[in-house]
Formats: sequence, structure tokens, C-alpha cells
Amino acid sequence: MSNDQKPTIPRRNFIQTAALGLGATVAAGATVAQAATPAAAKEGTAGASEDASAAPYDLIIVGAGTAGLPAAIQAADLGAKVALLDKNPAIGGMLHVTGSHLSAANTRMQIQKGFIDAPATHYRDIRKIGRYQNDSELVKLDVENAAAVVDWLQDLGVEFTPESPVIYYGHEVYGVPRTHMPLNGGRTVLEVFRKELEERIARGNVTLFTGVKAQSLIKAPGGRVVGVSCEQGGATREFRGGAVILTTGGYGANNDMRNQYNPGHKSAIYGGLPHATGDGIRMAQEAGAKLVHMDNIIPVPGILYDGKNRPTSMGSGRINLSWEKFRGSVWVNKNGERFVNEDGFGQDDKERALMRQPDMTFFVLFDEKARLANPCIVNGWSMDKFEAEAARGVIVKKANSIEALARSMGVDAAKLKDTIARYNASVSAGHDAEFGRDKLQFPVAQGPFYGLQTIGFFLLTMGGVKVNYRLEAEDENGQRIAGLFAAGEVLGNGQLAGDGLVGGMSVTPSYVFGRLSARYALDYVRGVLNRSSYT
Amino acid sequence: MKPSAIALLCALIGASAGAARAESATDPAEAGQRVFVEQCSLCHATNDSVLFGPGLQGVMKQKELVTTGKPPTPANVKSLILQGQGRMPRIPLDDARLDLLIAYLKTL
Repeated sequence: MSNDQKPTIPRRNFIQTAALGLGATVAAGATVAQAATPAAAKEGTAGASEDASAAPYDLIIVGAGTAGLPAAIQAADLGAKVALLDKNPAIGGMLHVTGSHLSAANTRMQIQKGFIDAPATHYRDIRKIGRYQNDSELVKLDVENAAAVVDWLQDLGVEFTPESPVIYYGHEVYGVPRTHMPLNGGRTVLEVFRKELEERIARGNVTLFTGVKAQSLIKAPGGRVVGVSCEQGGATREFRGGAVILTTGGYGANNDMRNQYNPGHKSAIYGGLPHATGDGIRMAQEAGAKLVHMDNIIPVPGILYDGKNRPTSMGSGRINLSWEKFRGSVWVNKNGERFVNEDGFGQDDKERALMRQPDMTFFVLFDEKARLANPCIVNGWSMDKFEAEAARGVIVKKANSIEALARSMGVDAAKLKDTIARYNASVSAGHDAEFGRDKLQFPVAQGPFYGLQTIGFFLLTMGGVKVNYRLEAEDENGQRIAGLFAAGEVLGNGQLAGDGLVGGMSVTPSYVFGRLSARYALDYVRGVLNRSSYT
Repeated sequence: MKPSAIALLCALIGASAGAARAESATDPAEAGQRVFVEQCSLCHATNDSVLFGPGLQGVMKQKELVTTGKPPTPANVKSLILQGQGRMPRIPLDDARLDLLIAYLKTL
């Protein structure tokens, strides 16, 4: 580490200076965002000094969402002065919509229910499901701290479902009940974080700026990251501090980045919020950070498709595809062919198979007998709603023969007829030689017949900023970028989940790394990493 | 109100600071706007643009709610907010804040 990369501020002096620097800002009511700022204003600084001792904040946290909120709360509890920025008009990010499933071993809830688990077991499961493409150090960092974070959330007042922890079947399953479900998903966590944040704002530890869009990172001459240049209401505004933590999320809503990095996944629909435009990934890359897993996106099946491929649409509802919820459907692709064991246990197999289908599209096909046997085919749809959609004919295709159904689906009729005939023969034989399906009670035989068009969708992106075990961004040579930390989806889910979708391994590491990034960044700012023993 | 106006409003009031919550405003629609920014604005635009969910321009004046097919009476809208629908999560607001939010939605 070169000399000019080292933070050189004695802790006492730094805090004192920061507190003094903040005084005017806080007194002026800057615990809320300012509506109008002069162009190129430097928040709280009188000049353009690159020395962190002149900076008003210990930490600049960019993104007040799943990782940024726990980072700000943790940093405040460690006595830091934090500027928390978000481009949205409100805090929360993906917490507004996520289910917030948390996977952790040895939580208080697990122990109270007598489930035997261990971080080492959790680690092995994650690595295996991720095909060993995940970062072993980061996975270890997560599993060793995950239980403490779940317990912490519970202590803060986050209510979990009485059944938690459970075995969750929406992804490749863990061998023990390890998934903790907040009562109302991310909303439950968000309201608790909101209350905690407000307390720390009132204390003067956190200053929140909404409607502020980060544009680029500011570096000192020696290369240390010392701030963020932002845009607010058409004006440029700079925030400077001892270090920057990027918690800006993924890039699923950025079509340019998707086209650049994931041209083979254009058909998949992004199901998250539209603010996930990869701002932090771009800024970090421009500052020299290495990006990893950018070529990977893993879509999941089940979103009904109406042909309006809006980038952030969740389609027109989610179909119940699991055997437990919907019995008797056959999945056929645009070529009129089956492609997977529809009732297979592993989600991973289905996700892989989906990626190989033309336009990541398939039809869920069934007959009248199966329809009547399944009162809820699409989540939230009544039978009346289903009938109405069948009459509309956009999402739900309905016909009295397989040939007519094929025509309405735009699929080769002869091919589809042959596929269904072979499937029905498998049902008769009680054995599916093609895909090994063993639940074969429903032949597709009794009209009318139905076909629901679905498309692959994804809720998070796999690629992002490479970080080390201290959550410092790394450059292409594996060297840390001093002063730049990152947590949450900006890392890309691939560093944690590898080449797979691993239950709870999106939100959990966001909370865990959010908190840890605050600790590590403050260690850096306060000079702990300046010791000669640190390499 | 356009999204840019929401951003400005949020900047003015520091929506997520929360200390100056809806209760302190005298005009219900104005107070409801703050609830909207805090709870709804990441998913819903106030014009007809689709963000995560549908745009809410004229939401209380339309024939039926897009997601449930029911008429947009205050009771039906409150029920939708509290119960959620499809990908829309449940948003457990108390009665007072719900009333303020409805007052604001009526202005769209």
C-alpha cells in the first residue's frame, strides 16, 4: 500500500473535526434533503481539500435500501457521522417488494425449535448449489454472521412467521429448516429499519438525502476514494467523507447493461423495481473496480406473459407451477416439445432447462379435468378471473382440440399433437421415459384444452463489483481500491450464490454485509487498516 | 402530480426522515401525499406510467381497479392496500394514514 493510500487521521482528531464540520449542517436542518443547492456545492466543506480530515462525514453510503439501511444504522451505532444518499424519493429500495427470505444457521429461532444446524453446513450447501462458483471467503463471511443478523432483526422487532425457520421449496432446497420469513416480507423489515434510522437521524449520526443521484466517485490524488459526485435537481453536488460504501443494487432495469453483458438473456423479464440501473456498478468500474459474474443471469419460470415485454414488468401474474399446488400440467416450448420433468424436485434443473428454450418461453398446457382439479392455477386468480382471461385469449389460450390450441399458441400443430400423444402414452404406461416424471395421473385428453404462455423472469442480477473479505472493492490486479466498500446486490448475486439461485442468499448477505461494511469502512477511516500487520 | 414533482416534494419534506409525518399537515391530501411518497412512490407513478405497478392517475375515478376488478371505492382501495394483490405486498397502514392516502389518491 502506498503512503498516499493510507488514511492518516488520528481517530480523535477525525471525529472532532467531523463533528465540528457537521455542526452547521445539522443545525441548518440537513437531516433531510435540501431542495435546492448551488451547482458543484460541496456538502459541508469550505474548500476542495482532499484530506479526509476536512471531510464532514465519516462515511458516505450510496443507496438507502436492503444493504444501505443496516449499514447506516450500524455505522451510527459505532459513533460515525453518515451521509446516506438515495436517488429515490423514499428509502427502502427493494425492501418494498422483496419477500426477504433469510437463510442462517444457528439462529435463536432454529435453536428454540430444536433444529440442528451449523454455519459450516450452511456453507457447504451454498457452495454446492452454487456449483462452487461463489466466493468462498464471502460465503464464509456471510454464514458466520448471518445468525447474529437474524437475531438482531428479531431484537429490533422484526416479526417472523410462526413457522420460521422452514424448508423453502421455491429454490433448490436446504437439508434443514433454515429459511426465516418476516411476517410481511421486506415491508416488515423496512418499517423497523425506518424507525431505527429515524432515531439515528434525530441523534445527529445520520443525515439522509433523498432525490440525490450519485454520478461518479471522487478520488484523492493518491487514488483513495473520498466522496461521491451527485446530481440533484439538475445541479451537481459533492459529498465527501472518509470512505464510500456502495449499496446501490443491481442492474436488472438497465437495458443497455443487459444488452452489453447478457445478450443471450434478452427475453427474460426483470421483476424488480425500476431504480436498479446499475449506477454503483458503473461508478465502481470507472474507478477501476473489477466486475465479476457479469455474463450470468438466472431466470426462473412461472410468470405469465402477455407479450408486452416491459423491462420491469412482473408479467400478468405468477402461475403455481409446483406439484403441490398445481397438478397435471405439461410444459411445452415454442417448438411444441416438452423439455423437463415438470414435477421434478429440484428447481435448479428447471431453471437450467428454461434457459435453453427459445425466447425463454414455454406454455403450461392442461386439459379440462386438470383445470377443475386445481382451484388456484394462478396466484391471486379466482376461477372467474381464469374464465375471463380464457375468454380474452391473450394470456390464457383455450381450444377444443390440441390442433386448435397449437394454432392459437403459434406452435406447430403436428409437433404438439405428437408431444401430447407421447406424454399420454407415458401416463398410460405409468412411466415417463423421456424426462423421468413420476406423477402421471393426468393425461391431456379431455377438452377444452388450455395453454398459458410463460416467460423467464429474474429478480436480481448476478454480476457486480468484486470485493475482498473486508468488502473493499478490488481492481483487476486484486488490489483494494482504498476507501471504496460495497455491499448488497451491487456485488452481484454470483459472488454469494455462484452459478445458481440459493435460498436466502440475496437478502441475507445484504443485511450481513451492510452491517459489516460499516464496521470495515470505519476501521479503515479510523486507521485500523493502517497497521503494518494489515496486508 | 408528475414524478419530478414528487421528488421535489420529497426533497422539501425529507419524506423518509419521517419525523414530520403526515399527522403534522393540516390538508389531508397534502399529508396523504407524504404517505404516498414514503409507501407507494417506488412502485407507482402518479401519471399513467408503469413502474413496478400501474400508474395511478385517475385511480379513484376509473371504472374498476386494474388488479381486483372492483370499483375504486375508498373501502375497496383500503382493502387492496392492506391485503395486497399478486405482487403488491400488504401495506399495513393505520386508519388515519389510510384516510390521508385516499384523500391524496382522489386528487390524481
